[in-house]
Amino acid sequence: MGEMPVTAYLIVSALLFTIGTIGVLVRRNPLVMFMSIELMLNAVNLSFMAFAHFLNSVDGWMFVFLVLTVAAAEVVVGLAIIVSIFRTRRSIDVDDLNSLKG
Amino acid sequence: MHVLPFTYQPQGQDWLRILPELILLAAALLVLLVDLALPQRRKSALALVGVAGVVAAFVCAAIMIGAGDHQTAFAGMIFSDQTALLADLIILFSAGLGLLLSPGYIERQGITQQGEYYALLLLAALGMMVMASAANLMIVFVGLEVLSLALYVLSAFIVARNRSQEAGMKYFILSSFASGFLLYGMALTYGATGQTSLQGIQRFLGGHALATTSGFGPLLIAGLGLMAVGFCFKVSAVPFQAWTPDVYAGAPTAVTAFMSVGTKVAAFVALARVFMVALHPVQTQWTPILWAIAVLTMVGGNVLAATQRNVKRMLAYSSIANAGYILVAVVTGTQTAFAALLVYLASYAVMNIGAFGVVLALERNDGLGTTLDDFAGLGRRRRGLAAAMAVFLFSLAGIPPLVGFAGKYYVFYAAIVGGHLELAIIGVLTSVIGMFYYLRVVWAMYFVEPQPATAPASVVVAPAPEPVLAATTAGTSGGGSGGVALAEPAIATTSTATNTPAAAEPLTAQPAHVTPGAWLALALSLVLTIALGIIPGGLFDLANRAASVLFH
Repeated sequence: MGEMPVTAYLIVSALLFTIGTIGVLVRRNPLVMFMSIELMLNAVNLSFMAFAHFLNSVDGWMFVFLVLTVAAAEVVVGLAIIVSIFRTRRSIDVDDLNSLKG
Repeated sequence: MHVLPFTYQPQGQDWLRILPELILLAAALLVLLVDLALPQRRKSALALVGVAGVVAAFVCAAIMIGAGDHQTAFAGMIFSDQTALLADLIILFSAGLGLLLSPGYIERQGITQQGEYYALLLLAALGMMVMASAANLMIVFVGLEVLSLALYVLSAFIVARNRSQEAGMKYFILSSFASGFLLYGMALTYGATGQTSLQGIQRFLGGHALATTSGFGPLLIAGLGLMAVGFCFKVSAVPFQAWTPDVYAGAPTAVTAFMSVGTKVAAFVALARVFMVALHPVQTQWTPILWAIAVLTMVGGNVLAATQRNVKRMLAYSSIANAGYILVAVVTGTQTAFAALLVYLASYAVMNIGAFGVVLALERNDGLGTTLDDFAGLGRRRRGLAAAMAVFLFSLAGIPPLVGFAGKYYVFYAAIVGGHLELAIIGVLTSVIGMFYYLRVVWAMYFVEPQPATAPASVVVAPAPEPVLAATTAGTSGGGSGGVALAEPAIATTSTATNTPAAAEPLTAQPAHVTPGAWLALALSLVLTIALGIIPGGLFDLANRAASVLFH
């Protein structure tokens, strides 16, 4: 069975992470920013899986489970905050979040 | 297929080693349970349940410092060494004070879900303790996320106040963004060393020569750079500090008091364990990055703090400046520096919570009333609060014999002995700027007359955006926005109503009623600020013993 080298996985993972980072920086809708953050976390998961496989070590796999669980909890809290802001302001665009300055 | 054997049975010893954390978890669950049984007007009793849990965990951690076996628990996942226990004590102290400050304050802010508030505060403290005790990158991450998730909700807890929700939202987006970087750094470090355990990483790096261009070198350097970025976000170091003043100013002040201290302790102890201990063999690689960040943070934090008129925001920037001094200890990287870091964290905890406690007592129901003008003449109107605030500010400025001086002295001493004289000089010079903005508040309290003409002017300028915003919200949504949006103009009107007599009689403009719990919290931090400043020996001993175990 011909295996892909670990660098192939790492390059894909780095690309996904970069796309996620750029997404957070340029998009103005919290939901999309939030999805970009999820993309960053999943890029990290891909790295962990690749390393765990090539190092033959169980740690990376355990880490992936923890990251998945935490990401799910983050979705719950994040969406709750977004909904609560939308209820008060009818807008969730981050450019409208400007009452704190200085 | 690979065979990955993983058999491990937890022993009774393992559970004993995380007893303070378990007690705190039980207290959080108990608060949620008792909440169901209490009628709405008796909800402040929940704070007592929380305080009881915190005191129990505090006593337990204090006993374990002397009598515990200080080993790792759960197959090397979590430390119960003196560093972890000392960090636990500081975190529990700040959580206890946060709980004591809360009851009257959150009722004034119109928070009705008190059970959730207290439970989340306890869970945030639990996350901080786990992060500070972590012996494995996984546990660092889990502890960090437990504390962050609880704090996102707590920051956004005042639903009727736009600024609180905005604080929660900003904190959430930026903090999870930073978590992504931290995590990616951990993944690359794991890829480079094959280990996630801190001791394992240290052993691996101690036994392998690092080549920066081949083998595992590039992965490791990228990994530690990304981890440094992630951690610096969390400890709010310049240039990753943008979220801090907004979140600290927008969040409920009791939460700000607690998190400004607790998150710093947790994140800095974890940062020190990762960089000063686990990555010690490659110190030359990470020193330049953190050196630059430390200098930027000391200069930036102090200069920005000096430009603030709002004391709550000024304290937020001052916490950034303090992060800079603690980073000096991290960069120095010696055993003495590690002890100095612990001493600084303890000293910062007692004085900073006290300062936020005074701000909390003066804050009005609409979240305003904390500008320098509001502090003018405080020395005559509220002698007790003004005197306490003066002590905390003198301590933050680093004036002997208060605890802030002991912390600063030890950090700069460690830097000079450890060969970073330039950092000590920059630290002392920037402390002088710090002295200016801390003492300006003292000056306002004792030597500035509260001017009837200027006081209402400053108040009118500040809240202007909120009623306008609320009015447009109500207008565009056609009344469909519900009670939450309608509460906003109501608060705004009451605030202007109380402001009108302020022009004639500034005395009545201060409705702050300080609860017995808040007095107790202020008294505790006041006593410790003075006592630990005069007799810092015990704290120094404890920190030195904790550090010597890690650097044997």
